[in-house]
Amino acid sequence: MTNLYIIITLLLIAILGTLLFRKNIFRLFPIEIVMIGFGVLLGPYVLNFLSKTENIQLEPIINLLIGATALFAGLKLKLKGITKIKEIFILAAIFFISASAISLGLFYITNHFIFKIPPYPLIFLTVLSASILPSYYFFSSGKEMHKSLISIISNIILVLIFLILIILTPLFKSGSPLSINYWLSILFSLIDILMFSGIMYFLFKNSNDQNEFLVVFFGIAIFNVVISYILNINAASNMFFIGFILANTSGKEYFKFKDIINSLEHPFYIGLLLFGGSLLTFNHSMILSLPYLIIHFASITITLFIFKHYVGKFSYGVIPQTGILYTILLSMVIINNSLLTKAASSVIIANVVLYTIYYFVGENKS
Amino acid sequence: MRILYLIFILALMYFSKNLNWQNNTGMEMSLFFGFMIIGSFYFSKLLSKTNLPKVTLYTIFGIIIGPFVLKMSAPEIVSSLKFIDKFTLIVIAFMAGSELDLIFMKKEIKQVISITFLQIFLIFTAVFLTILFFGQHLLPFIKNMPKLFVIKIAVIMGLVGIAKSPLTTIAVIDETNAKGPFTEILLGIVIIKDVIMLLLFPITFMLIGTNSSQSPAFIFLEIFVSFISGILLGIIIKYYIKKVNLFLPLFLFIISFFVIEFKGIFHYDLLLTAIVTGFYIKNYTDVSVVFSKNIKSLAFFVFIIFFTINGISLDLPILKYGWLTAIILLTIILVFNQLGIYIPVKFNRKKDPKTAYNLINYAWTAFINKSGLSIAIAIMVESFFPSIGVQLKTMIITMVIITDFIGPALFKWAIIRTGEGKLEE
Repeated sequence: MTNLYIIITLLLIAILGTLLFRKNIFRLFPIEIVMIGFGVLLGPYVLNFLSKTENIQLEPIINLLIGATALFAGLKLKLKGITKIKEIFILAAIFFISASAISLGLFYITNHFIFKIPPYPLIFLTVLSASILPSYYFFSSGKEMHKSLISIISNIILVLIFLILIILTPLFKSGSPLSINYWLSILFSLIDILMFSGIMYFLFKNSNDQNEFLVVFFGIAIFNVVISYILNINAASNMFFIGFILANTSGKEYFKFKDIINSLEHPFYIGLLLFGGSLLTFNHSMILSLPYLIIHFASITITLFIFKHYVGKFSYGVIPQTGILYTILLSMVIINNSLLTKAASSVIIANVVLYTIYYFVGENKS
Repeated sequence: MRILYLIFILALMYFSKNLNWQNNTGMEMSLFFGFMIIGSFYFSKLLSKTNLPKVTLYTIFGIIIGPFVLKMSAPEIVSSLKFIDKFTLIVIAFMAGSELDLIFMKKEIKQVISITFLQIFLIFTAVFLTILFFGQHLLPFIKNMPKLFVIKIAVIMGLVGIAKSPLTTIAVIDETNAKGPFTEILLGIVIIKDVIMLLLFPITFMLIGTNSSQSPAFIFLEIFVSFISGILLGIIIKYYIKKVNLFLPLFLFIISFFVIEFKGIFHYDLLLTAIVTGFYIKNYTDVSVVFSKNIKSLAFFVFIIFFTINGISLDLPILKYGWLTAIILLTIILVFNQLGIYIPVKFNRKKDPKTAYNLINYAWTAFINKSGLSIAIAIMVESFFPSIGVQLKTMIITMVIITDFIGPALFKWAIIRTGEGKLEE
C-alpha cells in the first residue's frame, strides 16, 4: 500500500502544482524551484519518500514522464517554418558546433584540475550547455525581436541535441563507435522511431476517441522508454523524433488531440521537476556544476543584455528553461550510470541557482 | 493495420524477454504495464466486429499473455498491480449509481415491478436450493465444509444469479438506437432490479459476514454511515467540479483512494457508499453529465488494467471443471428468468399483444449478461472467504465470461428482431 500512497501524493502535488502554475497564485518563489525543492525534500536525502529503488511502482511513472514530455516537445516542432529560412539552419548548426567546442574546452580545463572525468558525460554536459547559449539573438536583425525566428532556431538546436543524444547514448554501454553493438543500437533506434511513429500516425488518422488516444499515448510512452533502455538507445530522443514525425505528417488531424496534449503538459512538467529534485545526487555534483554554472551564467547574462538592447528592458522570460531539459536529464539518469547521474545533478543544481538569481533580478528590474 | 501493430508489440515484448538486459524489477514492471495497456486495447479494437463486450476481450487478452498460454507475465508484477481491484469496485458502483434516474424509475415502476420481484424470488430460490443440495457436486471446493458455510455460499451464488448490470444493456440499446415499449420495459426492469440488488448486496454481505455477537443495530449503523458518507462524497465531488474542474478522472481516482482508506476508520460499506454518491450526483446535482463522462473515462483505463489482470490471474485448471457447473447454473438462471417474465406478461397480454409477444420471445436475452456487479461480488468473496475465495471468484468470473460471450450479442439480435433497433451502418 505504501507505493499507492506515494502515487496518490504525487497526483495530489501534480494537481495542486498545476493549479498554482496556471492561476499564477504562487508569486513568492518560482514554482519550478518550489517543485524541485519538494523533490529534494521527498527524495532520499531528507524524507526518503520518493526512492526509486525501494518503490518499483515509481518506475512506470518516471518512464511515462520522460516519454510523454519528449513526445510533447516533438509534436510542437513544425518543419513548415524552418523551410522558409534555410540559411538559418546552417548558421545555427555552425553556432551550435562552435559553442559546443568552446564549452568542451572550458569543461576540459576546469575538470582536468579538479578530478578526472571520463569523456562521455563531459560531452553530454557540453551538449546541454551549448544548447542554451543565446545563439538565436545573434541572428535576429533590426531592433524588433523576431519571435518566430527565435523559436525556429531554438527548435533547430533542440533537433541537433536529440540527434547527438541518439549517437551518444549507445556509447555508454558499447564503449566504442566501432563496435557492432553500437551500430545495432543506432539501427534499433531508427526502427523504433519508424514503427512507433507509424502506430501513432495510424491513431491520429483513424480515431476521434480521446480515450483511445490517451491509452495508446500512455502505453507507448511507458513501453517505448523501457524498450529504449533495453536496446541501449536514448528514450527521450526517440520519443522526440516520433513526435516530430507526427507533427509534420499528420496535418490537421493533430488538432483533434491538441486540447488533451495541452492539458497534460503542466502536470507532466510538475512531475518532471519533482522527480528531477528527488533523483539529485550531491556527491561531487556541486564541484561538477561549477564550470556549468560559469558558462551558463555568462551565456544567460549575454542573452539578457541582448534582449534589453532590443526591447529596452530585462525579462526573465527569455531564459530558456524548459521541461525538455529535465526530460533529457531524467532519460540519462534512468540508465543507472553514476557519472551520468552526477552530471545530470550538476546541471539541475546549476539551473536552480541560475534560475533563482535571474528570477529575482528579472522581477526587480522589470 | 492494427493486427500488424499488435504483432509488432507482442514480438517486441517477446524479444525483450529473451535479451540479457540488466535485471531491474521497476523497468520490468514498466515494460509489462505499457505492453499490457496497448496490447489489450489493440486486441479489443481488432475484435470489435465480433460484438463481444470490451471487458471480455480484455480478459481474453489477459488469458493469452498469462501463465497458461504465452507466459509473458511475472507473478510478482501482477500481484503488485492488484491494488486496482478495489478501485474497480468503486468505479463500477459510481457508474451504477449514476445510471439510476429517479424520474424514469417513478414512471416505469408499476409496469415492471411484478416481473422484477418474481424474477428475483424465483432465481434466488432456485440457485440457493441448487447449491444447498447439490453444492458439493457443483462446487467441489466446498466439500466437507460446515453447513453454515455452505448456506453462505448458496446465498452468494443466489445473488450472483440475480445480478444483472444495466451497463451492457444500456450499451447495446445505445449502439442500436433502440426505441419502443419493449426496450423501455426492459430498461425499466434492469434499472429497478439494479436498485434492489444494489441495496441487497451490501446488506446481505454485512449480514452473512457479521459475527453473532454483533447486533443488528450495528449493521443499520453501517448502512446509515454509508448513506451519509456517500452523500458527503457527492457534495465534495460536486464542489470540485463546480469550483476547480481540473483533471476530473484523476480527482475521482484520488477520491476513490480516500474512500478505500477511510473505510477502516468509519466502517462504511464501500459499494453502498459509492452507489449513493453516484445516485446523489445523478438526481440531486447539476453536474451529473460531467461526472458521468469523467467516471466513464476513468473506468475505461481501470477496466483495461483490471480485466487484463483478471484474465492473467484466472485459474484455468479450475475453469476446466468449472465450465460445466457454470453452464448448469446459467441454464437454471435462464429458465427461471424466463418464468419470471412469462407469468406476469401472460396476465397482462391483452393490453399490448405485440409487446407481450416480444417480451415472451426475446426479453430473456436482456438478462443473460452478468458483468458489472457480479464482478464486484467476485472481488468481495476473494477477501471474504480466504480458504476458497480464489476458486469461488474464478467460478463467478467463469459465469461472467460465458455470459459476456453470448449475452450482448443475443440481446442485440433480439432488439433487431423486434424492429425497435437497427444495425450500425
